[in-house]
Amino acid sequence: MSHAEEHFDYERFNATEATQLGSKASALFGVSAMIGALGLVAAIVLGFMAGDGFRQFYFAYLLAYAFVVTLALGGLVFVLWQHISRAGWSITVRRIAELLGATFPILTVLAIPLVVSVLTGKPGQPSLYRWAQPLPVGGVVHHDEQGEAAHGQAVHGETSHDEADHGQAVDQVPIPAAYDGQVDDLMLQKRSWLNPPLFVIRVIGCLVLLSCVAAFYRRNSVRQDETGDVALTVRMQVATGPLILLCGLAVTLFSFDALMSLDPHWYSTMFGFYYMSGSFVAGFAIIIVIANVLQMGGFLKRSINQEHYHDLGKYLFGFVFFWGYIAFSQYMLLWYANLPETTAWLARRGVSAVPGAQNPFTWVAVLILFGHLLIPFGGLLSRHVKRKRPALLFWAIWLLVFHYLDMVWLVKPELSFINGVAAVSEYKLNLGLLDLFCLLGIGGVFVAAWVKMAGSAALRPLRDPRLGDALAFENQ
Amino acid sequence: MTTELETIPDATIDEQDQAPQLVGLMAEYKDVDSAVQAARVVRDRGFKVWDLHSPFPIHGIDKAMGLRATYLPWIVLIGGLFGMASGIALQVWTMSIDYPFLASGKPLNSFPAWVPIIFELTILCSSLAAVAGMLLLNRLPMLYNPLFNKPRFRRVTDDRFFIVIGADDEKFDEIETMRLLESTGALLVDKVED
Repeated sequence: MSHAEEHFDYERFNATEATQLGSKASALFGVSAMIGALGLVAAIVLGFMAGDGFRQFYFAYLLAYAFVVTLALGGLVFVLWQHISRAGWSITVRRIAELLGATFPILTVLAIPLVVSVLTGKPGQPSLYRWAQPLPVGGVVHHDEQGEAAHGQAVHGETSHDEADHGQAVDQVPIPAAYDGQVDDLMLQKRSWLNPPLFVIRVIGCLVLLSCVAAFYRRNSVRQDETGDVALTVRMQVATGPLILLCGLAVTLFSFDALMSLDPHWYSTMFGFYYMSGSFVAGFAIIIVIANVLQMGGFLKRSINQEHYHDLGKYLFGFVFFWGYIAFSQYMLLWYANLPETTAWLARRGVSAVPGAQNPFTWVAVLILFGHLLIPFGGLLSRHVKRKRPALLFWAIWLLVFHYLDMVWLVKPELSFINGVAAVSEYKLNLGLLDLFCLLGIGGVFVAAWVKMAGSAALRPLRDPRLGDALAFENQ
Repeated sequence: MTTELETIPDATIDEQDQAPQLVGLMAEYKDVDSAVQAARVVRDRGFKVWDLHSPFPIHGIDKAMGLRATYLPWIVLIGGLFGMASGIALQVWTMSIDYPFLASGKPLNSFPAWVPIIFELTILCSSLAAVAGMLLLNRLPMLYNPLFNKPRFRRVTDDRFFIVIGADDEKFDEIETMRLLESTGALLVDKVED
């Protein structure tokens, strides 16, 4: 390491800029907590007024929740990556990411509506996850040859698989009328994995694990502000290898349960990574936004410089394409195999060349293709864009918007399905005030949690052994 | 300085008939700071044909030398676009014009199936363009350089820093430039001949 490490005068450098949120923290906390609380209350009231057993509310809530979780996850992943690669450049922005990850305990509490929706399922009245209804008496039925043949009849673009699933098999226990169209034998077969208690255990377990990992990094990092102990850095680095694996598994399970199981028939082993790759983009984008906001507010004016923005921009650029790579890989495999039970998922999302099978989600998909991949890829390609703060900020906000649209595309089509809309072409976007209030509610609580924790310690590591390196860092 | 200069034996003076030609002046520096400082002076004097040699990359040297941005990204972009175009052309021609073949009921021009090939060819061509462009812009491979005749220059791979100003620079003047380099705190200024 450079001689900057030995001779770096922490006290002197730390005195040259504002590193403590101080009194601004409580003011910001008050405002954002207020917005969060009002948003959640308004969402619940609106959800109640809709009179559909909170169905619309649950979908709007899941949409906002899935979006905000990616922000926290992106922050946590950033921290993990910096430690596993022993990165020095990122010290000055690492605390921002640590704080993003540290919001996971709050996000675990905010998962309560999902848990409630799963545990309060009534036969024939699905609210969010249609598998989460009490079992029909008679248990699991066999999925025999004829059942398979019935599956094979569905054609790409025509979502007839749900009708085709039941009724044909010979020695099949009939599914009670209350479940008609909502529960079928394929769903019942998955019941040993997709059932309410196991769902709650998995989702809460994954969130608690992510909370613990995030807390570990934040605790050690803050402790180092006082002691400057190099052993803390070593401890965090050593722990990262196993933790990164655990977190990857946790996020995969979380996304399978929270998002993929909206369609209990559909499966994609890449889905966890699709969600994760979106969270990488969202994480870098939100770190860039927060760094800009902090500097506009007069904090960290000296430590975060053009070189750090350039590297964050490189990350953002790289993972815009990575997201596209994963999204396309998932799509291409489904398209190529053209299996009825997996293409139905895409057909419901409007991705179909069949005339008349398009719906609003077709346009969302096209918007995402251009807005989440092709346009930002071109926009972020140049080095000069990454080094210009306003330009980089623009693309970061742009990508957050399109990342939200990506979540809309994942979540919302299932609302039309569960509402009993038969034809894919009649699916509605179902975006409205409820979604806005849910986003404001969860987002407000998220920001409040971030600000509260940011106020309790410095906004960047004060005595990290590589702080000098981070400041001396230059892109070639 | 001058006495030291004269005592350095030029180890590999060739025994050809023609008199050695002056190709430039070489200044040797003890550390990074003095070399970078000297680079700023040379830059400000408006020299174009000159270079700084160092055992390792130096932060901020681009600015200190006044180097303009490289053309390499544009070469890579052209390489990538060429790869993309050839990936599309290859598949349109082979799959739907030269030998139309219906695979698993998909249309003849099935874009999703082509994307991997287009992607790979784009990456391949842009990385080849990056390597070729780098060699081209650096004028490599260069099998001979008069600097290699200087025994002292060998320390450039270890612990010394050199600024070499070419004799074909418009501002080059043997006496004036030598004085300039000497004034920048060089350990030694020497003629490079060929």
